Amino acid sequence: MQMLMKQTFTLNQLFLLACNENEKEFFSGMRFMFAAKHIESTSPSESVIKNILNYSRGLSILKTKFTGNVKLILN
Amino acid sequence: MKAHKESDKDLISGYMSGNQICLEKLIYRHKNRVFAYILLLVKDKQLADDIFQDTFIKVINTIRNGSYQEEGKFIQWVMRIAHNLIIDHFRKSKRIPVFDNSKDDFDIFDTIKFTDASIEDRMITDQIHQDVRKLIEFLPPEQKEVLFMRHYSDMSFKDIAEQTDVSINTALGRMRYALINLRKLIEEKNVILTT
Repeated sequence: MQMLMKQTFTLNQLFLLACNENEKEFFSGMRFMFAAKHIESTSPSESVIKNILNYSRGLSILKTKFTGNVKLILN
Repeated sequence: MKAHKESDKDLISGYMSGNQICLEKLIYRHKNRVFAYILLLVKDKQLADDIFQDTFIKVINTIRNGSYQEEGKFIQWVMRIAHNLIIDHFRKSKRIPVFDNSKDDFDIFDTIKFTDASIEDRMITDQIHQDVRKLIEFLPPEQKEVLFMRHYSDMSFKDIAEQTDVSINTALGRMRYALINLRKLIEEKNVILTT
């Protein structure tokens, strides 16, 4: 029985593609590697982006001489 | 007139000087690429959302700490953080196996008891233990000895072999025959050993 390889690329190759190619090349590579047709249109939930931005707004970092950086997160 | 597109470098320095809009622009510029990469590897939208969030939390912490070094490779750096978080996730999930409850009708929580055993359960268990004890009495003395040492005294087979002056293989063989004979006895005597 003929066994086909599930994937013909390594994780490292995938990572290099993700890092080094421009966005267009990256998505066409991803579409080819994973047979994922509309992968470029997937995006994180708006709530996640909102959480990140809120975290950034609430974060203040106090730089101290002896204890290093102290992170304060205010609501 | 062609709109001037700020570079990642400009946006990072803008964010470092306190402009939150710059961070928003950075996230919106790269979100699809980072998210697609995470999603294709973890294959779970919610998990990909979590890893995406953790990635940018790390980005924010590093930039705000002043540890980010501008080398013109912002997206590569973000991708590296995301990649490491994905690997961390797989390492963790390998270490802590999680039972996936979402795929079929079987529910693990139907089979797990959350409450202490009732008086009735305890009585049944005691009865089973007594029955087993009685059955053990029917075994040949050398098998009985090994079984007691192993199960009731919690001794290793090495210790049992030393104590009974036989080889480990003999002790293991005696244990095996003891269990086979016990099963036979259970069938012969029609003993029910379930709660």
